[in-house]
Amino acid sequence: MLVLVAVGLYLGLLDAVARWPGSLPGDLVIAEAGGSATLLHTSSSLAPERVAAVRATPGISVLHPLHGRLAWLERDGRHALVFLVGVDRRGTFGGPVGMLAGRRVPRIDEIVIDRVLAHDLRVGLGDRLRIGPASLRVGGIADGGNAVLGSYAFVSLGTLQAGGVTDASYLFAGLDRGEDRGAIQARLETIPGLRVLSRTAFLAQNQSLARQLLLPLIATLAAITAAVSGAIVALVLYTTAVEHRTDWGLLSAVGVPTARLFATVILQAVLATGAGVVIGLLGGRLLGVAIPMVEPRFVTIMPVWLDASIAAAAIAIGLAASIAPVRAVAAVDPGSVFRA
Amino acid sequence: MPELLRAAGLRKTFGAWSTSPVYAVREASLSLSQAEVVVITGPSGSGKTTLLSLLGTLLTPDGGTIVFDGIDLGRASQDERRALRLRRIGFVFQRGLLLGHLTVRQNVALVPRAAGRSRHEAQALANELLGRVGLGARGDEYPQALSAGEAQRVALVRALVMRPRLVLADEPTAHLDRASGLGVMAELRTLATEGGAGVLVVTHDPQLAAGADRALRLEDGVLL
Repeated sequence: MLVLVAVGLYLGLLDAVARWPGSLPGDLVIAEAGGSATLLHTSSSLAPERVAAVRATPGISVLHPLHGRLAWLERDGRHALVFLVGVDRRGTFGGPVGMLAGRRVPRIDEIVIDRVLAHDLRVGLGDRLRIGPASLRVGGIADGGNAVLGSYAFVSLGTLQAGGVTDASYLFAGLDRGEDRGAIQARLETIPGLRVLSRTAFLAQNQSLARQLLLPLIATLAAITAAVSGAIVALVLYTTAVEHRTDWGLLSAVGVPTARLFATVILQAVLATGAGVVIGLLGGRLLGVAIPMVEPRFVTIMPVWLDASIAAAAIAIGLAASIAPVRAVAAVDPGSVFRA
Repeated sequence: MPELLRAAGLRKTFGAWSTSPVYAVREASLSLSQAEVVVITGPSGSGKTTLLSLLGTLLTPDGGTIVFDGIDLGRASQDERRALRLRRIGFVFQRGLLLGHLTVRQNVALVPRAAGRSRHEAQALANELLGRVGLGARGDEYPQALSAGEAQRVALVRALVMRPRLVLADEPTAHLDRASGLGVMAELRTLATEGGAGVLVVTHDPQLAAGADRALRLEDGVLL
């Protein structure tokens, strides 16, 4: 159950982090060299001449500049870190993934924030938020902009430019049909001061922080869970085998084959583990539903392969745990039944 | 009747390398014919159970030979000994030793099931013998619902369900009242010997020897 919930939360986090960047079109992402190209981690700024050089590169059919910067939102003493995205008036690029309420394309004095951020800051449509000296009205509540470690918020491009962000932060390039992505990437990388990533690499880069932070924790949790559950199953079965040594001795004395006795012990281990797996997975799925209700920023994703992997691992643990009781049964002297 | 079992010069010592070894069985020799009932009496600690364990392949003798049904047990592997116990030797223990989580029928059927018989066949064998001892209607009950005498009769049926050639009984009436004990002994004799099995009973109750074909006495590991 613990592992299912932990991995489910981790997968939910990866999905949340990549959801909005993943909605942006483009085959290649161009960032300022020297940065990590992680939206919620570092900033990137591309001078106009570099944008022009990219635009002039053969093989690029469409180029979307993304204007954005990290910013602190404030409301009644509560603060939140956001990656503020400038959305053009037509909202053709960079807008929220989905909307729960209000406008998708913010007006000049408006901001569109994610539902989790709205929950955290306790604001709704029409409320005002401060970014430094500026005050913006909440014009829309979006869905899919929460990245747990931060959040995406949207203002009009004019508002962002008025705040000093005049240069594009990233470029999202679509390629001409039939063009080789690798060749164009290599061409773009000859332009000084640029870092060019495939779309997949860009999304992975944005998920990397979560991976680096959480994977070791999850691996440790899984290892501890496996060790503890294996020890519990082994101990319970061993104790049961020792308690029932007369029964095992009887079976051995009347000639039940050793392989059959061992198979019985192993079957008990598998059944005990299987029952634990069923209870754990059901409990995990219930928690997966309950956790986002209590804390909206945490979304769990529990694909079937995760259940299958956990079940397979648990059965393997059960089999390993059956070694101790199998040895206990093997050690029973069949002659002891005469003394029982 | 043809000879079924012959043991010669059997020895078994426990703690042979200790300062006070226990000579449980010393130079014991005996024979048993088909359909013969032999009772071995002796006080507690005389080596009766050890002798039974040696003859039943549950213990390996330190010396001597046992030939059962033409097989030299000293040359038999562990698997062969186990197979002999499953198919040709039936055991009756002091307290019956029924498995509490199995029904009466399942307790009996587990032996033929372990011997590779189908569930249906094993249950049919169990039902038939349970009917012979008057417990045909109790097959679905658990051992806890049985009296001591009934439980021992179920244990008897379990020992005989594979139609063994040899039945070894260790104090089968020790925990039964006089009437129940005599009833169990009578059923043991009837059911075992009608198929030609030889029966060896060890007991400290000399009165049980009255119903035997032959009685032997064991004292301090020596068969008299």
